[in-house]
Amino acid sequence: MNATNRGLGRTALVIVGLALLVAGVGTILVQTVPWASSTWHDWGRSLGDLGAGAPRDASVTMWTWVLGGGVVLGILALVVLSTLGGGRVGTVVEDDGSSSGVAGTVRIDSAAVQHALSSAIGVMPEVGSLAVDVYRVRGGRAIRIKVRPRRGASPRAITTGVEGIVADLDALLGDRLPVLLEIARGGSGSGRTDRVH
Amino acid sequence: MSAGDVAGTGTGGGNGTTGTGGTGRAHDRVYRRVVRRETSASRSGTVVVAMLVLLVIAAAAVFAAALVLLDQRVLGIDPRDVVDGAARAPRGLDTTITVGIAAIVAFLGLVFLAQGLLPQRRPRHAMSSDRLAVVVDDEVLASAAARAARSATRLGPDAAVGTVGRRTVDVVLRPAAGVDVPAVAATEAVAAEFVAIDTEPPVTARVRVQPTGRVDG
Repeated sequence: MNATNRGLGRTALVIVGLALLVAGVGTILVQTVPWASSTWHDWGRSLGDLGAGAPRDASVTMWTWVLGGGVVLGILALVVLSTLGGGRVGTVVEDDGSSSGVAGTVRIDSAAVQHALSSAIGVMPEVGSLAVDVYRVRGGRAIRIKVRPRRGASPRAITTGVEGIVADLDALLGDRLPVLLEIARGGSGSGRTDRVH
Repeated sequence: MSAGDVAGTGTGGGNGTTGTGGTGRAHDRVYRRVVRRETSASRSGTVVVAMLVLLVIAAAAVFAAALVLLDQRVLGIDPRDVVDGAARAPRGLDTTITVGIAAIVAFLGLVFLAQGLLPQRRPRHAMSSDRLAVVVDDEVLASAAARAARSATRLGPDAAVGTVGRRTVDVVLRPAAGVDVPAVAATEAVAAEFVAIDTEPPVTARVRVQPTGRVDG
């Protein structure tokens, strides 16, 4: 539900994996197979400027390219790392009233919705514990309700109960936000069996 | 989800039928995306490891280049001599150590490649709902199945064990020795429970009674 760019992450994984695989297998071949090592020696001549025997000017040029390549590679890795996670937002509804022509802004904080949903869902007998978060999904807002039920609770009973509570929330907000209900295992209260009621 | 059946109630007051229908269709797309993301595994842990490997390689390249440009050497090693040594391979290198390190690198690359290319599912199912996008952990489904089977047979709390696969749910009943178990009623109870839950993809229920009875309190 978070804002991780999964396509970018998987592309980076495939590229890094392919590079490491080729490097590893190539090294093994060069070390053990004669024709691979002779091919490597042909290629090795182009590495001459990086070696100790090269003239100073050529050496400085080549190693400057290595320096630049290393910096670019490091920045790319940091960019990919910075796309992970995030996407949680602090406001649920922000409306400046332009559709109805009334001046002024209405802003509803995530905390209001979190408290309202938590207190309404928390009293359901099947629910052990829960967490409510608001995320940014495709430019809009979406609510995630993560419920850890008691042992043996019926997922359908939980879904029906939450549907009713979300319908009340819709009436309150005047807007139907997308809601994800995640019924997860474990957690506090899940060891106890369903309360008798 | 169907947007039509709530359009007339006008919960929002001002923006009536057209607005609600529009958000309904938009939610369909959001819900498909959210459910797909929640039922497939996240690779962020592997991505972090791969990017750290990349950062180490990049830092080594920058460090080596800085040493050469400043005409320094560390621990008596000049990066230019290292390049010369690599270009002369396999002469002057120990085969066991080189092949060992290369095999580790190749294996790491294979793991990253597999993580990037292969589809991975989380042990979860989606559930139908008119209003919500719902995902359920398989463990919750299993414990609901065990509870349903137990309530039809009046067995003790740890006499039923449920296992949920992608399209099946197995419940094993282990009654105490000498206790007769209505297996058909238990199967019907589990099947009814899963008809009510209505998972996507649908699962079929199977109940087995373990013939070897237990002896306990």
